[in-house]
Amino acid sequence: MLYYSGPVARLVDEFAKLPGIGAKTAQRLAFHILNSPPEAAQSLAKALVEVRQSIKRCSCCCNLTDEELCPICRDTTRNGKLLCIVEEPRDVIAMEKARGFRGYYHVLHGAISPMDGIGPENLTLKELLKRLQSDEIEEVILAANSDVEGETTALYLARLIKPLGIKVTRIAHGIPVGSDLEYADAMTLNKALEGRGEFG
Amino acid sequence: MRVINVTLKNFRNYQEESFQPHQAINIITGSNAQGKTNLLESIYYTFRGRSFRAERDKDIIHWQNDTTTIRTGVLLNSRNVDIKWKIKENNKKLIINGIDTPRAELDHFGVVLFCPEDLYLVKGSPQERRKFLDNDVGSLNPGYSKTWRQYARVLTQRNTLLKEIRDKRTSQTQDMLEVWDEQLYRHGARVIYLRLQILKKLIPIARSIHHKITEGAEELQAKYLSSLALEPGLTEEQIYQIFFKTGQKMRPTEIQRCQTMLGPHRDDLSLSLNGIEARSFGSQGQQRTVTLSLKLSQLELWYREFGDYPILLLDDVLFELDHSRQSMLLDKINKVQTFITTSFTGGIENTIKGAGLLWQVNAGNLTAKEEL
Ligand SMILES: Nc1ncnc2c1ncn2[C@@H]1O[C@H](COP(=O)(O)OP(=O)(O)OP(=O)(O)O)[C@@H](O)[C@H]1O
Ligand SMILES: [Mg+2]
Ligand SMILES: [Zn+2]
Repeated sequence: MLYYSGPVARLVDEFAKLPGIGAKTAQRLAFHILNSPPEAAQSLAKALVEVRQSIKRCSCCCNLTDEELCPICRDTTRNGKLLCIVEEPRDVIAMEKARGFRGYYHVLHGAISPMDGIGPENLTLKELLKRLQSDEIEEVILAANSDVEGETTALYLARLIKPLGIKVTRIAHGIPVGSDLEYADAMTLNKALEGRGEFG
Repeated sequence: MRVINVTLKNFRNYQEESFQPHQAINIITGSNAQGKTNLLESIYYTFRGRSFRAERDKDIIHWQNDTTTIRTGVLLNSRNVDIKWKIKENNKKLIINGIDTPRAELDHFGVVLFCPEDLYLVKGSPQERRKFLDNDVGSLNPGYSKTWRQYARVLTQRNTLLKEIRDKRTSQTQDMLEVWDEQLYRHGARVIYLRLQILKKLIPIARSIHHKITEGAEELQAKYLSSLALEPGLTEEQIYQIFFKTGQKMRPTEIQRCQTMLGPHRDDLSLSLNGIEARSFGSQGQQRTVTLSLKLSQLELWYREFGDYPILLLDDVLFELDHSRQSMLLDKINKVQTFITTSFTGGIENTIKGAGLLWQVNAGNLTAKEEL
């Protein structure tokens, strides 16, 4: 659909691949870059490359970090008996902002969804099981989203973890609308956390 | 409940239009293809968040544009509510009283549509009657549409998994399927339970209306036909248990066919008159009357449940009815805000003197023609 020369068309295509960006916005972004000084483009490109090179998964909780162990996993004042399992790094941020939880996290990086080709093997379950075997964890709190995929993931995890003799609880039931933890306000999140019940 | 004003921007063939409907009857006339149905469609969209005839949202956006907005002022329980939809090809936004709002909020607004396609409700395939169960019957319980959407999602996910299992593209077959089964039974039982709850109240009302319209000549029977063996009066948990037991036996066949064979997506509604199935043996007129009874019963049940009448939309159906049914309908709706489209008025202006407004549509322009 576009009549731009090679490099411009490529840039537009790359922008259009990003979530929430349609063809029109992609064009607007591309022309914005072309019209701004060369240094602006340089620094954007540098930031993109650096973030990909330096950010990796924490070797313990799989959250994103620029170190071997993330700050939360390094924090020894937290309660090692509690482990909260979330779908995405942004859910950790939501929980931390609410300040109601003082245990550790595990980030799955997704939820089970056959339509998207995501099965248990695509989540960070190997890392999770390793932690559950060696750590002192007594309770696992499932904080996957309350949509169908999050619910299914929670069910699957409950069946996996319960035989290990660890207590499994679930939050997110009290969380309304949008069904993403990300959108829940602090009070709702803390209330859901307090009211968590045994699950599975 | 009452629509106070509507403002359309780039909706179908309306580029900019704003109007204040009458609180009772609004008759919208005009030649073919001028925008009468489009107008009803915009009101329906306001309350349901989708069209009753467009497959994709793109179709309701004016051809020369990429966005349409529908803004509707509504009076609900003596509160003013400002509902605004901003619709693009691939995303839409609902803003109520200036705040981004999830769609489920709309479940508290009632709208009943009766259009020519509704005749398929009686004579069409079971799929048509399931549409009726989900869109019409379901709307009478504010929790239904969400439950149904979740079930539909589980269904698609599970069918995809069945296919993967058959084609041996996944390793964790058994335990994965068990988890999706559990979801299917839970959500499916809930859908069926809600449908039965609503039908238990709706059917007696439809029967008595039908009795009245036919002056006692016809008894309407309506019965939920499930793919599961259900008896009357079951709890949600009991339905779940039955679904679980029957579902387990069906599994091997389901893997073979990559299809979920049992559940509310396979259910139907049987409609008969004096014990004879209306679908195969009813005349056109009888089928139309059954539909009319079912539509009117929705108005009535909504009123009993929520203390207010929903909005009624009649697209090209009034003049298909004979005289006595027309006046029966008009009599029933004297407390309901109604929008009626028709290309000829058949002298109805005289019947409803003092109770409405006659509108004229010309190529996407609406004008109030006369006070009735
Ligand atoms: N997206 C769109 N943009 C512009 N015009 C459209 C769009 N979709 C439909 N139309 C036009 O709207 C008209 C149809 O309007 P509508 O279906 O409301 O007609 P009507 O007045 O109900 O006619 P009838 O009496 O035949 O039922 C057609 O002329 C069609 O070309
Ligand atoms: Mg029409
Ligand atoms: Zn970590």
